[in-house]
Amino acid sequence: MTEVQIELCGRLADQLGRQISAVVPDRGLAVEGLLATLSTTFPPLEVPIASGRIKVCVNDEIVSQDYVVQPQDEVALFPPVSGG
Amino acid sequence: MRVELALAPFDPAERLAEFSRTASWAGAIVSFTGLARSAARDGTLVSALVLESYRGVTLASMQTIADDAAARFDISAADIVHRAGTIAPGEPIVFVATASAHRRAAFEAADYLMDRLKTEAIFWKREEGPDGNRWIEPTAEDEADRDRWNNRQD
Repeated sequence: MTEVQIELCGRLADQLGRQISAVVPDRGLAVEGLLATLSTTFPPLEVPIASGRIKVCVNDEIVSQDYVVQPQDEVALFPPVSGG
Repeated sequence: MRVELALAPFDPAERLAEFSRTASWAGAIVSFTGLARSAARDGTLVSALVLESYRGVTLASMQTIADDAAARFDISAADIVHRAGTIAPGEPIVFVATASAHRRAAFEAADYLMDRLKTEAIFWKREEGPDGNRWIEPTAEDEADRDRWNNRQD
């Protein structure tokens, strides 16, 4: 098990700050499972995650729900973008 | 195509002059500069606009939009600069320039670039003012502007 740092972008950081962490098993954790865990652990994330509009960025790429996050990955949560 | 994420103020006039020099063969050059406003849409005062970006992902999103414009329109060059960080009212946020042999492609490519940048570039935008801070998302009008490009053939 490894504690992975997760960066929160935009309004997601308003209540929780820019960094949160989650425990990821050595075999990895699918994005869907990671979001479910974060939603339970961090109540301010529950509604944004339930909206289905949060994107997960891993190592500078936006990934799909079935991507398996590895302990060494750099993870960020993106709320809907504002555009430029 | 030149695409840049600027963390400090830039001078659009200087940028256009440089672009015009490098596109001296062009028959048409179009440029657009977007500025930070001192008031929000509802009239409340804005003392600063904060544009949050994310590492290389923001620049990559801008590059994708630039590549799509180059593939879609008959332009020979484009220059895109977008600010990130804290922007004071009146400061440029975005600059787009396009060059082509004839005017239509340059106009349309600049318009297309702005519509896509306004809705799809990876930024989170916050207005800060005396009445507090507020996150901004694209308006229905912004999205309709972007979507009109999906409904036409060029």
